[in-house]
Amino acid sequence: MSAQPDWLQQLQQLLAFGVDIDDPVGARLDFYDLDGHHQHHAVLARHARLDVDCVWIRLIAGTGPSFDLHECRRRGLPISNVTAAAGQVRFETADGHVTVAAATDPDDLEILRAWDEFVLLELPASDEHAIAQLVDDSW
Amino acid sequence: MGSGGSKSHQAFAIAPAAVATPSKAGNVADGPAPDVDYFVDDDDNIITATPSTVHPYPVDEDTSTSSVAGADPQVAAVVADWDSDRVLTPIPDELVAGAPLGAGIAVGGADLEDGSVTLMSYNGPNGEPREVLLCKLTPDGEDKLLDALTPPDAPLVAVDVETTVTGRLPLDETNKLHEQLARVAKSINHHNSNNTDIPEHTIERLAELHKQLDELKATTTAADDAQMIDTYLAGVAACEERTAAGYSVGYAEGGKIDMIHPHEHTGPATITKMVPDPTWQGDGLVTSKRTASRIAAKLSNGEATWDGHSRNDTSGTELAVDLGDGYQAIYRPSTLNAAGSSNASQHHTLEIVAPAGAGNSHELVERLGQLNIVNRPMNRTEAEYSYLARNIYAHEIEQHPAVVAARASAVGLEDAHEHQLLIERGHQAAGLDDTQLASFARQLRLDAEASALSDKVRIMRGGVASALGYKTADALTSDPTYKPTPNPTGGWLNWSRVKPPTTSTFKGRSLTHRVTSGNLEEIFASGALASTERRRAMGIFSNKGMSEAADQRTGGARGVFLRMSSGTGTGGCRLVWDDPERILSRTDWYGYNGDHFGAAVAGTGHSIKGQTRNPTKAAGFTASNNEIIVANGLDLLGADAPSRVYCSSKTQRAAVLQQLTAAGVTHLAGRPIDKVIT
Repeated sequence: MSAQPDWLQQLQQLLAFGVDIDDPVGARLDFYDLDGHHQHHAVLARHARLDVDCVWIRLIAGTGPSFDLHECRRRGLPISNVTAAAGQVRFETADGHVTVAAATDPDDLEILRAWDEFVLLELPASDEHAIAQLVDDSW
Repeated sequence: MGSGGSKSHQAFAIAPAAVATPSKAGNVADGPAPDVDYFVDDDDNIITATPSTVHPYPVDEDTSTSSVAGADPQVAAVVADWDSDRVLTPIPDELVAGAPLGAGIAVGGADLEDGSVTLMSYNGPNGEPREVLLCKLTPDGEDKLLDALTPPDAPLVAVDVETTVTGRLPLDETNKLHEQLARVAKSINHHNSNNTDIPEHTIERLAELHKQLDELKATTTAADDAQMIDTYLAGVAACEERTAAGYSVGYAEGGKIDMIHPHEHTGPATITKMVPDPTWQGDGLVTSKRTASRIAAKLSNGEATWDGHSRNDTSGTELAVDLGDGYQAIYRPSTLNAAGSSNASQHHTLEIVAPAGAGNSHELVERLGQLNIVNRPMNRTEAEYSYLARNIYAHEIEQHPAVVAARASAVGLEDAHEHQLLIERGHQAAGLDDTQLASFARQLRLDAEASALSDKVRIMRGGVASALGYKTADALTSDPTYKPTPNPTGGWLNWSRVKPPTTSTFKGRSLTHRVTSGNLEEIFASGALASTERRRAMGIFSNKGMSEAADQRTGGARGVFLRMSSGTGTGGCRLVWDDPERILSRTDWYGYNGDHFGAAVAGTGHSIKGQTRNPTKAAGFTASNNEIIVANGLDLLGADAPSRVYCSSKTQRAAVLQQLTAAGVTHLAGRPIDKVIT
């Protein structure tokens, strides 16, 4: 089994809780247009899964306390051109669109706290497992 | 016509009909006949006429002429195939209250995308249903609607409204009791799921919370507070059980602490709302601008419920329009919602909400007329126009010179019809003031659009035929795959492709959709794999947050996501269509060989480069994150039923089979259900 690429390890570190579940950190995904202008961002759920031609992640939709998992669907980021540096993982598509995963800012931590609480306290264990697997298209 | 009110363009309610047009079913008995291909004579016989020789509008009778069938052989050929029923989908007199998918109705004109509306009837309070019309306008339709409105700057006045509020108790909020309990429980679940030791500080916090709750219980006298404390003490007990020495229940086997929701109570309150000043007089319907929103419906036991007023905010701006008599329209114009800063999936969407009670289905459609939108069931000519428009989109021939030329000619036609009407009615303009003249001109334009429709269909046929490689328009309409009638699917309609893909197009490929195993039964209970926007209308989930999914931003939330796979896809619980041509013969899908977050339009921050509606290109998708977005949803128990349903266990298979049998479903996609459900 081949070793994980460095960028994947860095991405997973960004997604993780951090050292204290009570004082979590996490990651966000920023989207840029072809001119490099920031378009929008989304808070990322805790897991990533490497596939043959993409890495699957999950965007958190909503602010909680409950979330519609159908809307927090998995997404596949392209891995043909990935770079990791200075606390960021940068994904670029063939047509030049850039998406950057980075540590989330304090404003979004409340969303992440609500998500963690939702996953750890509200969902059945089977759904919590399915969220981590990143294989299902809908709930 | 029931449009009510005093605005001049309300008269557009498709009234201008010189020819009475009772359908066989009587559904458009009081409607106009802006299409001029078909008329019903006094003996109820269908007559066709050339549009250029008939004026279906209130012209002087002595100038009105008609020409019997045969002037346009293409029209006649199609008529022969269309039977005598002029209305494609009659408006039901009664809607089924609580039906989550609603009823799809084909509505005339070119104002509506897909030429259809969905009529919903939600279960409402006190046994009174709440009926709503949902649809999406074309850009041209939006222009017409905005013309019917006064600018959204009418003064607002404050009114006090009695309502019921639900919230947490002050004792809970002051002491942050729920926050403390959730923090502890979250930590315990996190460490138990990872088989790590529970930190000492978590144990200490749990003990402190227990002590605090005991002290509050000893001093409180209010029954609501006591109930709240008991609820939280039960949560504390669950936490203490998991932290006790020797606790050995596995995390997935019941060891996970269940959600402990905040304890809430419900009580009456008076709130102040700002509403448009009902005494204000403007040129058009009174309109107010507000944050975009959605109906806050709820789906429970297979029935959709809405109280008639609760809404959930989304991102963007909408216009609320008072139509009078308790009817209200809500519209999200693209002019107020730039791509990238609002939900593209809501752009151009219109709701009309009826007052409480049943029996409003006809009136809901009629009310479109107040907004300058064609407001009657669709007839065959209008169906063909929508069919051609959808095929232009599906075949990606918008920029083909023949189509561009046809469209330009169509615009010219409307101008010509308008000119003709002006000659006929010009004398009516004498003595009108400026406002009346504006209304007169607007009416003239609307009538010209309707009058020109059948000529436009004829021209568009020629353009589409040329773009798709047919030698003549006759050759196009003679193609057995030319089917200009919509297919009812769930609570919506879709249109088929001329020259659809075939089995060989998708040899060795399938469409798949992975479903979380615990929710397969729920999907079949609803009968549909529905888009996010449809799910919201059905009440499947009401996300109260302002931050919404990327799909809604990109417009992808108006469709369901499928993936092109080889064979039957990878393992797990999933729906599989072995014959993608059955789904992709529709005109309302698009796809990418990669994840573009379902981007429907440009400017949302997600590239639309590589978007295709070409079945052959879709068949060649190889990326594991490819996506095919099908509008509205799939009728899993009808025409869109999957070829196979892979369950996660024998137990689940038995449950799904039992569920379908109980619902009277014996076959899916033409096969016995026990062959499909595996």
